[in-house]
Amino acid sequence: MKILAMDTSNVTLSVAVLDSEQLLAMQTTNIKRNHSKQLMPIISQTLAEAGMALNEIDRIVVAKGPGSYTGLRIAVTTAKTLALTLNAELVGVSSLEMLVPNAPQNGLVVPFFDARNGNVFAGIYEKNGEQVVNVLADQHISFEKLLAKINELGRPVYFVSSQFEQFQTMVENTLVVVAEHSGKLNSLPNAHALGILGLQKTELENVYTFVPAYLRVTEAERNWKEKHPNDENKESYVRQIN
Amino acid sequence: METYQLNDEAETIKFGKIIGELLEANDVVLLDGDLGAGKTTLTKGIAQALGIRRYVKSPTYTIVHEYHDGNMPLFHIDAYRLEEDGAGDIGIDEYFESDGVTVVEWSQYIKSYLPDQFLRVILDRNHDNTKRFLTLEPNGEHYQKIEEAIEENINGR
Amino acid sequence: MDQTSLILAIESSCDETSVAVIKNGDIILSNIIATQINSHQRFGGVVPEVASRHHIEQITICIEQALKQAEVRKEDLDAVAVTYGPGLVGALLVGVSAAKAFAFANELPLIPVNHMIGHIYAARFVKPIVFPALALLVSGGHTELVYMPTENEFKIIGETRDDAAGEAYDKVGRVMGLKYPAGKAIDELAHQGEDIFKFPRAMEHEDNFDFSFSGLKSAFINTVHHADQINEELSKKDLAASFQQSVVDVITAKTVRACEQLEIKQLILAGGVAANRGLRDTLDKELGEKFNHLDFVKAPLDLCGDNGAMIGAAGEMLMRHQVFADMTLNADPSLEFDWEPEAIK
Repeated sequence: MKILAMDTSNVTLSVAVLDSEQLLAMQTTNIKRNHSKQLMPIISQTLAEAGMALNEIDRIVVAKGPGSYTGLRIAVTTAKTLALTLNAELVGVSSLEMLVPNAPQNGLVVPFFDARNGNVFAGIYEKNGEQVVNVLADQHISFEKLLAKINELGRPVYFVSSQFEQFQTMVENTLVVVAEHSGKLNSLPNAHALGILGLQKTELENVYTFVPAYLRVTEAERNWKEKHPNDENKESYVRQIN
Repeated sequence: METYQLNDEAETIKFGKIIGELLEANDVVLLDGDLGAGKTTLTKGIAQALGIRRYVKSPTYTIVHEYHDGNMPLFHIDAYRLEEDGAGDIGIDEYFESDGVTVVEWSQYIKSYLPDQFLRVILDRNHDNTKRFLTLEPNGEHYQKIEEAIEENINGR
Repeated sequence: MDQTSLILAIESSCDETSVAVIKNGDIILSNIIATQINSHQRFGGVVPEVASRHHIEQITICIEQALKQAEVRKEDLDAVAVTYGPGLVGALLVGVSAAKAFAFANELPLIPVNHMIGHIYAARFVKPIVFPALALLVSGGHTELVYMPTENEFKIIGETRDDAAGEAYDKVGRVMGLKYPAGKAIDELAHQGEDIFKFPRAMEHEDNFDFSFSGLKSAFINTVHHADQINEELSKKDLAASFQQSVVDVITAKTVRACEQLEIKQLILAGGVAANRGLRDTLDKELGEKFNHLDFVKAPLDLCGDNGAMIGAAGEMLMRHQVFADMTLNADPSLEFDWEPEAIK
C-alpha cells in the first residue's frame, strides 16, 4: 500500500511517502513559518523524491489533532480534498499518538502539547513494540490533573514533548512514579511514524464529514451552551441554499 | 497614572498623535473602552503620527487591518470575537514581534497572548456622550517613559 | 482553439462556504452555498473560529455537489479559482488549502481571486461589463468607489473613513435589538417608516468621494439612549427609515458626484449591502434622472452575498490575463485595491 502522510498540527511540518511500512521519502521542517505556504510544495517534493505520482497513492494519513486549530485545518483540508479527488482512502491519526513511537522503550508514554495557562493537550498510551494502545483519551487538561492521573496509574512513564522543560519543575515536585522524558532527538513528530500508525488503522474517515479533533469547543459556543442548555439542533446551523 | 479629558474628536486624534510620535517598532498599545468610546478615532491619531495616509477604518469585520504606507507599519486588531485560541490563528505573536506598532482593541479577550509589556489606554465617556476621558496605564519601563513623555507634552502646553 | 472554459471556483472568506462551476465566465452551471448565518446568529456576529470550523465541515461536500450539479467531470475543468483575501484568515485558509490540493491533484492552474473583484464581477451575470467602469462596493467590511479603466485595473477613488455601511447596519441593529445580520430587517422596517429623526449626513457635500458612517452610528445610539432615559418609546420603523435614508443619501450623493466627474460607461452596484432595496431604488431613480447614457448595473439579488459564482466570473477574467498562483499561495486577510484618490484628476 502506497501512503502519503502529513502533519501540520504544531510548529513542525512533516510529510512522508511510504510503501507500506517502508519509508521512501520524508521532509520535516521545524521553523515558525507558514504551513499554508509550505505544505503543498513539500508534498510535491516528497512525492518526487520518492519517485511516486500522486495518483498512485492508496491511502492518505493525516494527523487530525489536537494542536493549533489553523495548523490542523491546513493538513486536514488538504488531506480530505486530496482523498476526495484521488478516490484514495483517508485515515486520521491522533497528533499525540503519532509521538508515542518516539519513546525508546515499551510501557506508558505520555505525549503532550502546551495549551497555555497551565493546560496541555495530552493522552496516555501503552507502547508495545510497534503497537500503540490508548490508556487515557486525548484531552485538554490542566497539567496538574494530568500528573494526578499518572500517579493513580502508579507505573513509570515516558513523556514526549518538545515543551517538557516548561513543566519539568511541576513533574519533579508532583510525580510519585519514575518519569523519563524525550530529549532533543526524539521530541518532534515525524510523518514516518504517522504513516505506520495510519497503515495499522482499519477504520477509514469519511472524506465529506471528517474534521480535526480540536478537543475543545470554542469559547463562544461554550458560553452559548451554558445559557441555552437544552438547544441541540446543531444540524441546522449550516444550511445549503443552492 | 493620570486621566485626561478630551472635549471632541479632534482632541482625541491629537492625543493619538502624541502617543504615536513616541512609539517605536515592536510597541504594543491596548485600547480599552465601549462601543463608540473613540478607540478607532484615537488610532487615527496614532496612524497620522506614523505617517500613514490611508484612512484607519474599523477592523471589526476582518479582525486585523494592516497599514504599510507610513514610516512604520501599523497593525490594528479588534479582538472582540477572536477568542484566546483564535489569537494564535491570526499569528498575533508575529504582529507583536514585527517591525511595526500593534494596536489592540478589546484585548481582554486574548489575555494569555498579550506581551509582558504594553501601554494600556482606557477610554471612557461622560453621561451625555460629549466628552471622553483617557487614562494611561503603562506596563514596563519602556512604556513608563512613554507615559512620562506624554505627560510632559500635555502639561508643557 | 478551445472556445469554452470551465472553472471550479471556491469561496470561504467569511461565513459562507461556496463552490461553483462557471462556464466562459458568465454562465453558472452550479453555485452551491452553505451559509452559517444560523450559527453566528447565536453570538450576534461572526465568530472567526466557529466560521473556520464550519468551513472545514462543508468544503468537500460543496466541491462534490458543485461538480455533480454542473454535470462536469474534473477532467473537463480548465482551472481552479479561489478567494485568497480579504477576509478572516482561518476561514480563507480552508478554501485556499482545498483549492491548492484540488488543483495539484488534477494538474490544473490555480487562479488567486481578490474577493472584492469577485463582488464586482457578479455583475457579469447580468450583462457584460463595459469599461471604463465605476463600481460602488458596499458590504459589511467595505464601502468604496472603485474606478476600473480596464477590466483588470482597480483603483479606490473614495472609501469609508471609519465604519463600512454594512457594519453600521449591524451595530445599529444590535442597538434596536434586531437579530444579526440586521441589514434586511432594517431595510424592511425602513419601508414602513418615515425619516423623522433627520440623522446627520456626514461629508455629503464635501468635494471628495469618501464616506463616513461613524457619526451617524453615534447619533443613532444617542437618540435611542436618550429616549430610554426618559422612558420614551421610539418607533422602530421610523428609526430604521431615518437611519437608512441617511446611509442611502450619503452613498447616493457621493456616487452621483463620481459619475459626474468620471468618464465612465457603466456603474456597477455590488457587495452584500447592494441587496438593500432602499439603496437600489434610490440609485435607480437618481441616476436615471441625472444621466442619460450611463448604464447602471446591479449585481443580481441572489449574488450580492458571498458566493463561488462571482469568484468564477472574476477568475475567468484573471485567467485571460494569465494571473496564476503557484502552490505557495497563502491567504491574505488584508488584501486591498490600490488607493488612488487622485486617479481621475
